[in-house]
Order: sequence, then structure tokens, then C-alpha cells
Amino acid sequence: MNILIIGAGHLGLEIAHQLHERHEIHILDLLPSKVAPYSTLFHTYIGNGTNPSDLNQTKIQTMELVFVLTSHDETNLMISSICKLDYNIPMVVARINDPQHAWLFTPVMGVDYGINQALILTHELLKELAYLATP
Amino acid sequence: MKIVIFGCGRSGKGLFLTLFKQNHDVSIIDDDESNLLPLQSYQQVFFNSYLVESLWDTLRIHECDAIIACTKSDEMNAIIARAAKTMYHVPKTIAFIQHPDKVHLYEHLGVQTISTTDWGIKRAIHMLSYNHLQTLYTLGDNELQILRIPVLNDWVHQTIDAFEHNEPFTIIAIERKNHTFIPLQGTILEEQDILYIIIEDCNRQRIETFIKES
Repeated sequence: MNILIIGAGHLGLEIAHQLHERHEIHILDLLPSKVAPYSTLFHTYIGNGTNPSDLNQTKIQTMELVFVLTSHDETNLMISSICKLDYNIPMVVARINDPQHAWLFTPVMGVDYGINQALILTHELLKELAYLATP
Repeated sequence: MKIVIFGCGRSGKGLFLTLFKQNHDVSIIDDDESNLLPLQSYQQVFFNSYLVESLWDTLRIHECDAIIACTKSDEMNAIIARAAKTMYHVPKTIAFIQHPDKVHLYEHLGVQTISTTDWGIKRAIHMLSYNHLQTLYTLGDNELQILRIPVLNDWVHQTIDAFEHNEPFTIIAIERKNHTFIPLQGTILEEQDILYIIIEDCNRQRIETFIKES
């Protein structure tokens, strides 16, 4: 499966490493220094995810799954809208940086699944605390 | 009309004051408290992050007739306008966009935009290219323009019909001796008349050529 990851931070690179043995991984980031070290492992591109010409260089039309993982929620929402409405990507997964913005990450805004990091971490912590509290 | 403005920069503040004077039910929000200081005497001023759902409920966005997004970020403006339109069904949503290249993209996503940079460039080019025409007002995204033109010597003693049948503009008013009126068919132009015409932007070059040739 062709998978595009937009945003080569820790989360993007971890997903890429976990999936690259079974899938074709493409990574797009604004900063060359972020993607350059991984050019032998993945298909890497430099550019802005809100810019259609930068997206076109990744052959985005061929992607079955796009992860939108920048550190700005409004950017993630805009890229998701473009992926869904302009390129009809079957599955768009977007990172939610601020939990207060989670209500916007819906299919209407182009997001099939929102990764709410703060919520996931909180659930895991509470589960762990409950385990520790159990005698 | 109930209107909410996102972003209290120069444009947002000016819009707020103008709409408030026109007795609209207008509110403004900014995520930087210092931007709101000039408007602190008004009640409908909110300091908050833009994309917080409880704020949108407090502002009763679902009851709005219009929202205007003019924050510093093009992406933020586009997302605010898109969310208001698709999730809250606000009839009129406008996003200010500084980057002219993004306008078509955002409009394709259903966001009505005002490109402040593009508009400024067009105005400057018009002012440089021909100073006889003065744009008084624009409608839509600069698509229609109301212009003020002093009558040219060649036009004096002609009826307005002669222009309107052959040229792509309409004379909507004439200012003559401190009196302004709507011209009728057969109205004859006089020396020192000031004409107010409405044209489509795509025809502006043709008007300029027409006036130069006249």
C-alpha cells in the first residue's frame, strides 16, 4: 500500500519505521534536514503540505492512506481537506495537537480518523495508575 | 445582522468599528489579549483561542448571518470559514488570505476569500497605469467596480446613450454643479460633469483604452 506521511517529526518517523517493511512509505516535510537522513529507507520529499504542487511531486493521487502529522492543527485540517476533497484519498488520519480542537477533526473537514495524542496518553496513564493501585 | 469577526488586527478592528456603527450585532475575538486593548470599552470582545468549541457555542455561531476570518494565518482563516460553513451552516463566511497563490485552492474547498495582497496589487497597478479613473467601490472579489470619471471634452454635448450602446459600462450617476442624479435615456453630458460608472473588472483595460482614445 502507498502511504504518505506529512510531517517528519518523532511520530511521523516512528510510524514510517513501523510500516516500511510491508508498505511503500513516502514522507513530506518542509525541512530538508528532517527527511534527508531517511532517503535510503523511504521516498522523501521536501515541501509544504498545503501546496498542491508540493503534494503532486509525491504522486499523492496514488496514495491509499495519508497521515497528516504537523504540529499545527489548522495546517493539519487544511491538508486533510485538500487530501479528501481534491485528491479523494480513501483514508486520511490527522494528528490533533490541542485536545480542545478535537471537535473539528471530522469527516466533514476531511479527517477520517483523528489521533488525539493527549487523550491517548491520558487513557494509558490512567490505566497504568489503576493497575498500580490494584493490590 | 449577527456577525462574528475572528482576528483583531487592523482589518478586524476596522471591520468591527464600522459594523458596530451600522448597528449590526457584531462580536470580535483574538487569541492575543494586547490586540483587543483598543476595543476594551466594547462588550462584544473576546480573548480566546480561535478553534475552541465552547467559544463557538458562547458566540452562538450557529445563529450568525456571517463570519469574517482575518487572523494572521491564512490556514487559520480558511479553517474557521470552512468549519463555520460546513459544521454551523453560517450563510456567509469570508476568509482573508494574504498569499495570492492559495486563493484558488481555498475557493475550491468552498471558502469565499478576500486576497488582501492580490487586491492591493491590482489597485496599485490600476493607479499606476491610468490615473484618470478613480475606483470608488468594488463588489465581490473586485469583480465589479464603481468608477469616478471627469467628463472628457470629446464627450460634452453627447447623450449617454451613445456610450452605453457601444461600451461595456453603465453610467449610474452624474454629478453636476453640486447635484448628483441618476441619468435618464437621452441625458446630455455637460462640461465639468463627473460620471459614476459601473464596470466588470475584465473590461477595465478596454475602458481605459476607450478613454485614452477619446
